[in-house]
Amino acid sequence: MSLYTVLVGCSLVLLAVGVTLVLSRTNAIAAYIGVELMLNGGLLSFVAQGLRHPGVLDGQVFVLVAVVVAAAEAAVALAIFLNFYKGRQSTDLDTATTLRDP
Amino acid sequence: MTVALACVAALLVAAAVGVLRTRNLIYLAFGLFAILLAVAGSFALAGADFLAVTHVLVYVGGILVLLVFGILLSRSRELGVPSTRIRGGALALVSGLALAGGLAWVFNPLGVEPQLPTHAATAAPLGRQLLSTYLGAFEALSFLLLLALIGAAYLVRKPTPQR
Repeated sequence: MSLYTVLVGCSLVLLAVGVTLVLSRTNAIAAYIGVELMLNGGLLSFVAQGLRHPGVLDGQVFVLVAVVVAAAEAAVALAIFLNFYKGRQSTDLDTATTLRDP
Repeated sequence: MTVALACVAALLVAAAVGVLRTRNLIYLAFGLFAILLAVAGSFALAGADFLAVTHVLVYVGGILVLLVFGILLSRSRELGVPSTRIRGGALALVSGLALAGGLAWVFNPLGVEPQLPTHAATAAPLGRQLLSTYLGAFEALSFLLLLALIGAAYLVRKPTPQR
């Protein structure tokens, strides 16, 4: 198997695992880890597709941009989770029935 | 090369299985750690050396530490261990596999000729592109980081006392 095949396969595994976590875990942080896994699958896919075009680095620039966006998103997401926890004493998504604090 | 690739893929698949099986949030974070290392290793094997280092720095050094803080700060009272419940796991796994299978059919990675990456340093050309072709994206990113900083600080601020 070629490097390209393995890398695309790995990115698809990450995507499948991420979707599974987001759909089946009731804890907000576990679902967020699923989102991160899906994102990593996408990043890996960018780099793998770049292998088909040697010398072109556009895919790697996209990955850099996406990593920075992910870092910003992580900070805001964790802040939201902590606020959520303050009002409900849990980060279980089943308790998220109102937009404001209960 | 082949051995390294097999090691990285095995680490990734093993960690993915572990992430799917565990309910403990700390174990989940450790699984994410292994997966991030495997992804960084794949970047290095694909000739993206700068991305591999950046991935470890930003994800493992930043996002994962933040995540562990979040897990420890938000422990549920009734469950002693920070853990998650699983609901509809089989159905979720089937949908994930269906999505990945559909994408595999679209990408058709087996039909592509194998090509070895060129292992040249990518930091200089990446920086040149980021400051010329993608200058707009670069500026937007710096603005986004500022906004995220202010937004996160605003979200977790102490409420001002009412008079």
